[in-house]
Amino acid sequence: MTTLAETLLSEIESRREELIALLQGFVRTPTANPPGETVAGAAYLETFLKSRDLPYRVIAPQAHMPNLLATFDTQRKGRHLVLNGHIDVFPPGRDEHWRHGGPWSGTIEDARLYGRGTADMKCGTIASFVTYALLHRHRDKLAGRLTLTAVSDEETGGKWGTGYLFKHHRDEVAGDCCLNGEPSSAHTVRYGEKTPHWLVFTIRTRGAHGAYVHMSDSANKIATRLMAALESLTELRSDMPEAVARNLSDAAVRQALDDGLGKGAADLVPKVTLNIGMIEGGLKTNMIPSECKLEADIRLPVGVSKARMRTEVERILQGFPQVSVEEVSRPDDEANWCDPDGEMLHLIQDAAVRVTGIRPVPVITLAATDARFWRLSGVPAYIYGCSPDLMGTYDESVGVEEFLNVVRVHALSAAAYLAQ
Amino acid sequence: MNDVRRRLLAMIEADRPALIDLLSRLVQARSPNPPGDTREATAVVRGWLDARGAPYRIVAADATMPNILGRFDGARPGPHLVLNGHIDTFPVVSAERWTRDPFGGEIADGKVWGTGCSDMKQGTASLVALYGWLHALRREIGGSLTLTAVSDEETFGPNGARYLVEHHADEVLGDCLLNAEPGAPTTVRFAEKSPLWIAITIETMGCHGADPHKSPSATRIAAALIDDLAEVEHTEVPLPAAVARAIAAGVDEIDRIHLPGAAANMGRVTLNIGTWKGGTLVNMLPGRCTIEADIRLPWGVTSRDMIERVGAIVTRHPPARLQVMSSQEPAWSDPDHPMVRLIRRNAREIAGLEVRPIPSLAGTDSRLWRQRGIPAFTYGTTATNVAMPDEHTDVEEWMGVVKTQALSALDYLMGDEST
Repeated sequence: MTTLAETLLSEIESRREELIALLQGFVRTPTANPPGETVAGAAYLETFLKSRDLPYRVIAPQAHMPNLLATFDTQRKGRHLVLNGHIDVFPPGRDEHWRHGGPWSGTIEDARLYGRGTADMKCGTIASFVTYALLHRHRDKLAGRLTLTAVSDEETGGKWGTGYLFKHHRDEVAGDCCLNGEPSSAHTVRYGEKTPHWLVFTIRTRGAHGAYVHMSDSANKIATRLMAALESLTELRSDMPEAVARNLSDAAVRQALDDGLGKGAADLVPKVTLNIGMIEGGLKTNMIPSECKLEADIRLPVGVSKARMRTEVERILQGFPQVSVEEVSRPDDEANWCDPDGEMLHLIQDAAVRVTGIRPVPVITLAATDARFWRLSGVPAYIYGCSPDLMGTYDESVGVEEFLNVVRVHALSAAAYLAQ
Repeated sequence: MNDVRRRLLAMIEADRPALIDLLSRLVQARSPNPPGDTREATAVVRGWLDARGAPYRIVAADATMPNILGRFDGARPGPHLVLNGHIDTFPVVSAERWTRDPFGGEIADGKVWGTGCSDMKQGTASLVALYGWLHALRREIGGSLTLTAVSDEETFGPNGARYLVEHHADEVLGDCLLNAEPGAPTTVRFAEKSPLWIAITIETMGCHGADPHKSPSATRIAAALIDDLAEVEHTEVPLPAAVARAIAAGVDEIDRIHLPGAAANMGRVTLNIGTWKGGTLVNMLPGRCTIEADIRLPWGVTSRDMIERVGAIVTRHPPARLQVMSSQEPAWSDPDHPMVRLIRRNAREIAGLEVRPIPSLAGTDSRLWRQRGIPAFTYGTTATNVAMPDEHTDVEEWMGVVKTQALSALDYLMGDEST
């Protein structure tokens, strides 16, 4: 007897060229954000659903940034899995820097498909659509409900995309588990992410002629003291949940992090990191600077909340009456995670082993994705997708076989999750 | 008081309205630097000299920045005194916060108002007038008098006094320089600290801001370097005894004029990190950072030693590179020079002021003479709102300074050493 998994894999194999063409067509539809105009990209995906008689709704609080929502119930009660991908992509930069025919060419060369957004995340979004269609066809062998969400406005914060769906259609999109195809590499599954906490510090003093150093504090000299004081933030100990701590001390996980993000990355994942990204103080060599602006990129690990960070920063600033601070990152975000030993994680690992021979390890990463909306609502959300190495570059591309593997792993793990 | 001195004071009194008018018209003839075009203001000065038949010629390295160079000899040989003032001004500072027209030259409330009025059109006007008065008395005095009214002072530019001392040294150096930059009429400045301007560039690989393990941060290195640079403020300074004595004697007056702390800074190296720029985006780890610093050297410290010391500090932070933007040697003149004694005596006599010889924190063109071994002294009005809105000159105080300058110049040329 043929299992559902075997059926799915053989159907994917038989439609191989069709699937590649599907991704290629999506890449050829520009959806750069900013400006975030994604009507054509959404229409492309709507055609896919319409041609298969799959009902869907368009939810567009901003007319030029539509979101698609589709759902079906099987005949049996069960769990609710939600697939999530985004339609918008990074801006292409300068066209002339693109080889392989420009940012929207979808050219295939040496078994790689090129174009802006191939990796982040048109590959993953197409995997969600194909999974949805395949599982709909075989819904008689499944239990529970499957929902597909394709959103706009991911690259610029999600207010009109996933954020909007969670605010106004929460019952439909939260579900019991989320599967997302953002880049992860074949070696990892992402179960959590740190969150950026961006602060702009402004130091103001009276200022004076540079020879009269007794007449005014120097905003620049205060900036060096402030930077030194802010370093203490990196010593904050995280209230790391035990499951996360266990995961982060796993040798295989540490190796995967160092391999994927550079040597030393494993040590930094559980820590607060601080980068003074920008500094600008003073107008002229011989004037005592009366203003210095310092922009800090602080990354909060799981177990350090924004509220706690704000308290710490306030405590430091008590020693700096000349300094004001403003947060420029999204104040509602938090570092987020779900169970690194959860059921869906194991289903993804099993499917990946079957498809690629590689068992991906669960990791927490640095990049922010829409998966955070699920995790922060208490719903597990896992990311499995192509390699992130080329996302945002002029050579952004995805290997054709790599793309098909993402489709396969998503289809198998989703089917396993909804198995009777 | 002898007859020539009395006649000089009488000429000043008679010219009082004309002198105030000269200052007012000089302010109206705007000459901000940058850009430093002083032709209109120079024409006002020329008008005064022409009307009085006082000799001069124009020396211009840059046609928009003319310098006035005049000289005459007295009836018998004697010392050669040089007068120096500048015609250019700071640009208008915060025009919206002025309560008077910055270029109105308005005369109100006993003051003349406008940009550059205090720094230093009042001083240039008084020296130009002095040159004219003493020219009128030339048959009764000795020595030689040279007038230099220059452009291009505010930016330490090459076209003003620097051009004259470099290309016309035999004419403009003389035996002693009197400069009328503003300060305070209770002080005569015999020395200036010397600016050493440096730039430091730090370059690292840079990377994404979430991955601080991948590259050192240029900004962080800069912060550590700035902290280390503070060491230069602890440089041991072997102050010349005469300078140390003058500072010690002038502490109260220095702190009164320049606010508490100024006297302590006179004799030590100070450091100002004027500009500090690094990074391009908040979430990128900065791969480039630049610092510009203004180090002020007191007397007894050479720029060479300081550059070496700074270089050693910079070397501790390998990606940092040091560039010297400008350097010169701190110089001082004898605080007991005859000119100082004359100014002290005349200020007491004319205005009832007790004058102390003190060094200066900021720079003037006087340094160009001192650096060439010529005693140079600055005596002027109170610096009132220099480089600030509502810059002005108090007429009464100014008149006292004008007379003190005039009598001191006369006495010096007459060979009176006030001993």
